[in-house]
Amino acid sequence: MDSESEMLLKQLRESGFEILVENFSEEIITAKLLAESLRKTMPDSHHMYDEPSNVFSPYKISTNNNE
Amino acid sequence: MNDLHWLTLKEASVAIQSGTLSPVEYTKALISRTEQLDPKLNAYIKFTPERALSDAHKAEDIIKENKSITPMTGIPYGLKDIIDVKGIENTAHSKILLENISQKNASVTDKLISSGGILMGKLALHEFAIGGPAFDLPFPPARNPWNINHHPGGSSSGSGSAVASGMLPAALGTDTGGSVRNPATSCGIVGMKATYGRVSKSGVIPLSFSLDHVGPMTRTVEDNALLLNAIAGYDKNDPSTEQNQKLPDFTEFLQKGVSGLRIGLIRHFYTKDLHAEDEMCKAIDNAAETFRKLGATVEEINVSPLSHFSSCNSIIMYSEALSIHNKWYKERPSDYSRATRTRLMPGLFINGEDYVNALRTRTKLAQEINNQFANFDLIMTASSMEEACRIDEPETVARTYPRQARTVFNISGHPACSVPTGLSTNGLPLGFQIAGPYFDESTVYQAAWSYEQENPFHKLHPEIK
Repeated sequence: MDSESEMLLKQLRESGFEILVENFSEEIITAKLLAESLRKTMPDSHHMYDEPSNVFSPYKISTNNNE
Repeated sequence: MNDLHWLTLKEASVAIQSGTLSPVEYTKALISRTEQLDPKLNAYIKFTPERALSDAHKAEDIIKENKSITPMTGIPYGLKDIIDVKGIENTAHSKILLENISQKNASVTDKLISSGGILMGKLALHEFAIGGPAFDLPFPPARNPWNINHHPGGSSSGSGSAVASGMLPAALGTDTGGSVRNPATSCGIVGMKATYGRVSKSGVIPLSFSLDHVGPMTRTVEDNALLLNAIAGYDKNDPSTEQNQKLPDFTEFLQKGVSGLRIGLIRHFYTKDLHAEDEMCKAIDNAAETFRKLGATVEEINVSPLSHFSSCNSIIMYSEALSIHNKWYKERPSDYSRATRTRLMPGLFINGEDYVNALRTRTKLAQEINNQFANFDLIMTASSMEEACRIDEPETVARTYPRQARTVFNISGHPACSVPTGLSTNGLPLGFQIAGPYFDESTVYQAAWSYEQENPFHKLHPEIK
């Protein structure tokens, strides 16, 4: 395992994912690669004024939530 | 009446209301069918025949008293096992929620109960609506009635299997990246993901709040419209439902035909961005020809590459899903199936900037699709790129599941329906998608119904071996 992967696993351990790292380290490395490939596939052409799809709306707050 | 299990919802409803079919007799027939087939198909996680018979007697009383009768009165249905039914386990097909008893009904459950429907039980799924067919869970995976060695699609796998096999005329599934439409295509039935905000998600275990939809699954288009009639509408308990939506009778325009309708065909999704298998490709192109023959215009259109939609969907879904699963992921990662654990894991590496940028991209992609409806009444494209593969080949399942064009309409929120076209040479179902403008499910159904009349695949039934 290269040092970058070791660092990644160390960070995950410190974030509370000890059991996951202990048992599934290979799956973790594969998932990291998948996340990176998704990031690369995304178009990257946002204007600074572009808003995300779920901007805050008071209407949502004035209704009940599932809980 | 013979073969009660192959009655459509509509046929059964007419027979029940005219007094020629008793809800009790009908329910008993489906209980018997389920006892015979479910050991092979594993469509149910919890089968509730006693409750069903009790509900059937109540429906019979309603019919006798001739009050509050709806098209769903006396009609058996099933619910994907992530939809709350008070007092019954809601497991999400997972070891993690084995003892999770629902404290109240989901809003859609309440609607189906008040419409006089008969709950037959809770149906199998891919764990938490994200894994694949898995053999390392407390319940076996549902199987495809057309060939039990093949998967039935997912994640609403049990809903697809139960409806296609004649164990149920109707079921509800959920759809975050195609999970109603995938089993609909794989099992040869009709599956509708209505407009985001059309149907309440309250009381449904979430996978990804902003992408999740609840949707009807049936063998015919008319049945699907009837089931959507029963579950659609604003719900104060779900802030994502649209308060000002009009609620038409979704069956009203079924017979209006497609003459004069303008249909945009997104062909590059299945011929360039991904390459659909020949038979699937031909099935979609033939469906386009059918619409032309019926008087619609079908014109090829181009939008962003499919990968933009699917990556955007994945980044949003992984991020929102991990916010729900984070605690279990830290404490009980071994209790997930391998398929689910690995599918959730990329969320660990998607940061806040990725998520927000995906939401910004979503706005643009949704606008791009929405702009097409300035020139077209409907859009058609592929659902899956191939028929369902064998269930016992996890590598093939993992390779083929993402080969689809359904996430486009989860990202955009437009209504989209999977319509069956027929069988492949291997005897497995093929299909395509029709999508429409926001809150115009009626026109989608209108086109789907016209196609179905020309190509009545629903009259073919699987021989379950």
